[in-house]
Amino acid sequence: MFRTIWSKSLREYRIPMLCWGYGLALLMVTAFTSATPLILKTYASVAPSLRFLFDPVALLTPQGYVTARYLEVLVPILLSIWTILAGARMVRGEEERGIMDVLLATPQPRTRVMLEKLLALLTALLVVALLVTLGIVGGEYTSGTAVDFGRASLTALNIILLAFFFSMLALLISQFTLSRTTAAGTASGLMILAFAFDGIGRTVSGSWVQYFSPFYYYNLNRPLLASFNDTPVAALLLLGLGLLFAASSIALFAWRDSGRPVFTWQRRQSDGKQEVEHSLQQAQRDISVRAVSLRALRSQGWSAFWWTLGAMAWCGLVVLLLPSMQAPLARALAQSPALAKLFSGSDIATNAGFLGELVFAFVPALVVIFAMTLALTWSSDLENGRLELLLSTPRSRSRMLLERFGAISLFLLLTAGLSWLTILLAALSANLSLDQGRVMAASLSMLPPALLITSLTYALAGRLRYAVILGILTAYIALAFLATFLQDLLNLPNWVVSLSIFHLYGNPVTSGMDWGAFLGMTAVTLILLIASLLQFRTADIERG
Amino acid sequence: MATIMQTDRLTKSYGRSRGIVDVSFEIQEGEVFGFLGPNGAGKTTTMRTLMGLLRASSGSATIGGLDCWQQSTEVKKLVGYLPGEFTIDPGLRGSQIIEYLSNLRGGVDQKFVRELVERLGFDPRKKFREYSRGNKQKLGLVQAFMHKPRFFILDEPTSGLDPLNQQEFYKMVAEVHAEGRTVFLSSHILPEIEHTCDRVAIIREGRLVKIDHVSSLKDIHQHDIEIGFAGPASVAWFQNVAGVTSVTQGTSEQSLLLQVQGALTEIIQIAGQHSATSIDTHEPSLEEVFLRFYEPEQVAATPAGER
Repeated sequence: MFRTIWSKSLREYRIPMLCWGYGLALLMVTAFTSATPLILKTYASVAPSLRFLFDPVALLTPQGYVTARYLEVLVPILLSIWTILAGARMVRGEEERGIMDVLLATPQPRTRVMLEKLLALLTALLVVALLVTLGIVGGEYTSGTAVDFGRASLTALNIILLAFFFSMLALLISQFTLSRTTAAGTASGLMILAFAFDGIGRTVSGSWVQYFSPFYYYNLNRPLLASFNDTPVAALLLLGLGLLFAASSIALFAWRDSGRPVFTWQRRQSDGKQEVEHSLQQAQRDISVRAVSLRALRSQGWSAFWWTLGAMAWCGLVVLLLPSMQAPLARALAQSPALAKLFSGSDIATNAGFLGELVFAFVPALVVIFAMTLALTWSSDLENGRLELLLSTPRSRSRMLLERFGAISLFLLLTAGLSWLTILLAALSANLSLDQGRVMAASLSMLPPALLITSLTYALAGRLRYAVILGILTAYIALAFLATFLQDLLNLPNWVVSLSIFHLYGNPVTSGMDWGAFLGMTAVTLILLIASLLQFRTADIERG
Repeated sequence: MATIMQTDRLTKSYGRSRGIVDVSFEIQEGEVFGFLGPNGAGKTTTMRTLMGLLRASSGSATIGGLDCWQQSTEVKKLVGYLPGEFTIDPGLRGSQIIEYLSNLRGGVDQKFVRELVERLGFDPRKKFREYSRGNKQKLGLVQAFMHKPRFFILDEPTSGLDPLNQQEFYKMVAEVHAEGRTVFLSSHILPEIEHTCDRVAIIREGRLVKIDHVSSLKDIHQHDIEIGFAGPASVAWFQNVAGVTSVTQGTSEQSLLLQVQGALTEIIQIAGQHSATSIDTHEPSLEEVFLRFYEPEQVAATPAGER
């Protein structure tokens, strides 16, 4: 695997490639097997309210349902998140870590280095496409619909074509930035904008903004639907743009300085002393460098902003869609015992029940994952030796840890509070009757599970490596969520379900605050926090 | 002079790996103390244990009478620390890092910070990720000196600095030395230790092998001497003289090459008795002493003449 740059790069992609491939294949199988006539009918009845997300084409067929629900937006966006990260770090990530200089010191032309890395990503994407094809074929076979290998493989190719486009966009942007995070963030922002343009194009008549969206060209081909008139030239356009971005990136990489962006802002040399003084004065006015907690708030602010915005958007969207979606969903539940089990027998005909299933079944999971990403920066800072210089100042270790923990707590409180406020305002604008006390209880009850995960991360940091903690927590959160969400379908024992933080969270929007669970999780959080303080007080600090 | 730093059988082990073993030494207030050793000898481990970043497996260390582990927060008020390698939030500018660490320390004179920035020619406008190795080192020096600490712990302080800034650093050390403050610096650059330090400790494979004044350390080496005579010279003249480890014929039959341990008084007397016309002694450098300490033990124990 270490003979060529291509094979070495492909080796680096092997885990995400197989995880995304098998994950999406499993999603396809699940999507087809869940496409029962009742689901199709229910989905078709709510489709007019969801035109921003998909075109209602052949919704009464399993292929139409899978295309609309999963393939138009969800799957391409999920896969593109990975390819954007891969594109942004392809060369910029290696330059940031100082690896690229070593590679470029070998007698390999730069164009070849980049080409081999590109080919490795393409190979990985083709493997993902193969697995997705098998997933679609498997889904069609198990659901008893006609199996069409050709259409399945064209569908998978169309998905990876869009993911390739965004990857190359991130790669091109990374030629102009100094860090891979900036490149990935910009490319992700453009992807969200493209998604919004496509949605606007679908919902606003006479709109033209969708022509700027790659999602529009992606959705001009829906090979899974035999009745849809495909436009192959749209796929060629995406491919052409992707290749153009790739070629431009190769040319820029071959031309620019290693480790520097294409354009470098040249500072004026004449008044350097003044600028130094200005920089020092500016730093003195900067509130974010006055304490560890303020620094944590500043450095994690953008990430918190996006997560909170996501939670608020979901809360607002569901509340606004509630009037049009409630009745069809309630009818579907009444006709399907299996579907009713999935909703744990909640009465979604009531506003609170609807919110309980479509907001407070998911947003707590989102907030918990958000808490985990924030808390993991502590582990990452410890592992990368970023605390050494800070710990050479006369600040106690306990104080430093508590300040970081406090910053996360504040972010979580803001997210919970703003989610509640969004629901309140959306309910007012939609003229919905909601028990705001219970909505507030449901919002604030998200804090104990999120803080518990935060303190667990802190307790494990320093003892276990970052990747191990990430693996353990991700597995626990996924299993806890599934155990709670599917508890009635899977008939899991009570003791297993009671280990889930989401089960302990319960459904406060319908049943009110569960003080026992709230205080219990808070107590566990405190115990874990004390354990992490004790652990950190005696831990060796990694070198920078 | 009072003792400002003291370690007593300080040991740090990393599982099966060796860190430092039974390291015991003292540093007096006001002296510049050098710590010599090759990579991986235990210099950084010792310094990080003193800073309370590592917990000693056994033994103890104090700075200013305060325990380096139990009272590490108080210890850090006395110390200016420059790590061997350091990293911090890569998105922060140099000025923000200085300000951040100033705030965490408290009591930093901003006027003095500006003097240090100017003196070292440090550009605080860039982000940490943009700094070269040398500029990161300048930033490290600014933050280590900015609060005018009583005790400096500097791990390879001139690493990455250009010769001009190295000279500036030596001046800064001389100034704090003149003010009666204490410097404990590690290095594997021998002339640096030779120029800046009063005393030096040599560490090898985690154990201290020698602590002495820099001047004394030089004296323990073997002098290489070439003596010229008016007529043919005999190796027998010096063979049984105390301190002579080797005698060989020189470039001609009228000269001898001697390796001598210790004082040269008797050698000079005997040479005079045999009408010596010239004596050429090779002055030892610390580097030679250093290399001798780092030779594998079995080789180091072998008399020079048998090699």
